[in-house]
Amino acid sequence: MKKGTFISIIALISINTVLFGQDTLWSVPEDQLSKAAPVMFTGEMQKAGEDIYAKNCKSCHGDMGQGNMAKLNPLPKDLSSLAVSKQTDGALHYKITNGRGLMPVFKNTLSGAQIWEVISYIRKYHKDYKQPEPSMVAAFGGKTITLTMDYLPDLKGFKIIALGKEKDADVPAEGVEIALFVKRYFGLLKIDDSKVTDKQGEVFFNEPAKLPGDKEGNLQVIAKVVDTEKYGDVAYTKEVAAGIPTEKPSLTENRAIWNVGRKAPWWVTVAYPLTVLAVLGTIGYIILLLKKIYLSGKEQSDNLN
Amino acid sequence: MENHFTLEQQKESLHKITSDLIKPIGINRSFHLWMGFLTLALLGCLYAYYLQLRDGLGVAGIRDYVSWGMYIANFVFFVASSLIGMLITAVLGLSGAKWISPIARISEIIAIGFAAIAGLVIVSDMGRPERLINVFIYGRIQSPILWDVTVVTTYVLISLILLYLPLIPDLAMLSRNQTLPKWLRKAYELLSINWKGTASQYEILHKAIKIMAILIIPVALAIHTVTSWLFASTARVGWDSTIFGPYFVTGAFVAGTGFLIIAMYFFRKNYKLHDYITELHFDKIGKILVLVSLVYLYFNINEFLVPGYKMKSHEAVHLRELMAGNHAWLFWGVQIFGLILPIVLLLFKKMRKPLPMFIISIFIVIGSWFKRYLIVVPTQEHPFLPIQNVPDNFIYYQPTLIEGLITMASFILVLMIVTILSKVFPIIPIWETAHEKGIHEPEKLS
Ligand code: HEC
Repeated sequence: MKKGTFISIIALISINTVLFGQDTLWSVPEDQLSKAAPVMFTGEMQKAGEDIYAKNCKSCHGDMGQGNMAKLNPLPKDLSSLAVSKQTDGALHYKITNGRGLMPVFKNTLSGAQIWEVISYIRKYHKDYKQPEPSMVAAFGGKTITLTMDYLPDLKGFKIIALGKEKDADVPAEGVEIALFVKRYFGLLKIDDSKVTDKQGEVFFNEPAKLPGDKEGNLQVIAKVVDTEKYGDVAYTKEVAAGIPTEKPSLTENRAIWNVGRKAPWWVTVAYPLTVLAVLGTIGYIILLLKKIYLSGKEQSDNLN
Repeated sequence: MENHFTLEQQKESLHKITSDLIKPIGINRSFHLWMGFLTLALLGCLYAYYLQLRDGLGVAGIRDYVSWGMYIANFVFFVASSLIGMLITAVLGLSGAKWISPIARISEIIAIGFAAIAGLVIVSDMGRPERLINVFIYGRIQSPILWDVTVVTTYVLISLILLYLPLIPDLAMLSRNQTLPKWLRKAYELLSINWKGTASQYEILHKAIKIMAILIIPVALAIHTVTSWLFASTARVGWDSTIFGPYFVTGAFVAGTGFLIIAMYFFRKNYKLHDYITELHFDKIGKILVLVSLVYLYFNINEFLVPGYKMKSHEAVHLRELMAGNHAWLFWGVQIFGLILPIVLLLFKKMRKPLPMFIISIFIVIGSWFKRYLIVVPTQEHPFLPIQNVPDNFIYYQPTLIEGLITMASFILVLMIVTILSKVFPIIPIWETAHEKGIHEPEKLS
């Protein structure tokens, strides 16, 4: 190989490492850096976070403090290490949410609240960590709000009330954005646009027209707080008779080709064994014929003797 | 044929037939060498299978999207090749074509070899073969897979019977032949169930053969139709077709006839059977090959032209990939060298001679194998939902060496079965040949 080529290859390789190697700075946008968790971390959150970590992170990052991470390039850091502990909650939240390279994007896999839970678990291992003031403190003393829902058949709609705690007393939570859903076979169907609670902490949604419910016309209606970043995953589910009663036999109730063997269509249940029997019967008959050949041959040799 | 030979002439001619046809029987040096070679090769392939058992199906190229690869394509090919037994013994035999008698047994042996191993090929596609029994315990009576298992097993059984029945008179004759080793003669005697060649015995035997020859027709059609339903009963592009049953069956005749010609050529040359498997047989079977290939070509045109005319969006992706995309070389290679050129060539009488047909058949057989591959694999590369966030080797199927070796093992096993059967039994029925040469009661003469 010519010296020149050699040098240029080396140069190329080093440029590559500089550009794509692990040492590049993972910059977090300014406004994300200072983002704080909505609530103070609790033991419960840390427990939930531990499960999430075991399921979603451990395969790469290994056990906390053990250094048994997967051999990837760049190496997934031990999340209990100083390099991680000195970062802000906002930075960790941003990195876990958006991922980079081999670090997966968790935006669509974990909810905002779940990401805070796993951070609360990671923080357990950071000695000098002090949690900054939660973002919800401003609203309701750092506690989550609660929702309740009433179905008002006369008004053909749902009244949802949001309450927050302030000095151990429930107070209406004003200005909370609420969305309403109805549970369907696959996922949730959104009803109307989301609405913001008034001074009484209330919003009113008109009931959806002509939605098929179960046999009794029941629907699973779910009210959710939209801003989970701020309030956490807050929801209230209620079964109400606001749908049209529908009795559709489930697709697997009757005999059908796609059903379990027990519920096979009659014609298969009958035709299959009959066909097998007919074929086996014919083969049995052939064996009888062979026996006949055998016996007649024996007769012949007996006659000769 | 009229009996215008004297007794002496008949005796002489029978003697020649028997010694010609018995000569290849027996375990000789070349048998040992050949079987030794096959065994060694098989051991190598079995090591590959051991690796697959140890490490799981991940050692093969099949992944989440293309989960049916070479194994299933090979399975379809094996089932297809086994159909030749039914075409020759049943369809031609029942229609009264006398000339098939020297090649009927060969076709039956090929059928048994491929059908018996087809079941094993399926097992090789299972990561946990010890759970095979679950197919029977939890099988759904309405699942084509259960039907397939049933019908393949039945077909092996019927083919064995159809091999055995016409063998009975030969076995009796062989058991009296002093040139053969004693243990072999003893075995023949046991198997020949007191055959004396009486008129009443012949009558029963003919009846039994006829019943089996009729029975094997629906069973053989079922075996390959059901195999096609494994694909056609899903809504996948390229499989969702109503003509898959007959499409598979006619394709099977093409592949099977190819193998039959290769075997005819081989046995004629090595067992010195030029007087029995004649150029006439090659000429006739060549014409049959043209016929079945034309029918298959017709189905091919139908299978691609009709969806191609409409070009429904999903269908279009698949067709483009086959005809102008990734699989185009294989697709057109198979159609041209495995189907169209053989048809054109075999139209000429000069080409319907043993050697040219042998060569053409090799092309046919290879084309048939890849044709199955093209039916099984490309469809799975186009799922209805978009493929996202998966490694590259999930998207395109790339068979591995291990997969290839395990597939090779199945061919070795077929060769072993054919070798053994053709070494312990006369490859051409002696009594039928004798009858056709005007010797009416070979049993009395020998
Ligand atoms: C597929 C392997 C993989 C999984 C699973 C994974 N990570 Fe990572 N993670 C990485 C890699 C690789 C990096 C380094 C990325 C880089 O620097 O480009 C990383 C980086 C990080 C960082 C940033 C560290 C730093 O350098 O600032 C955090 C925080 C993090 N991961 C948390 C998590 C959490 C929490 C989970 C589970 C919810 C998780 N990771 C799951 C591979 C993984």
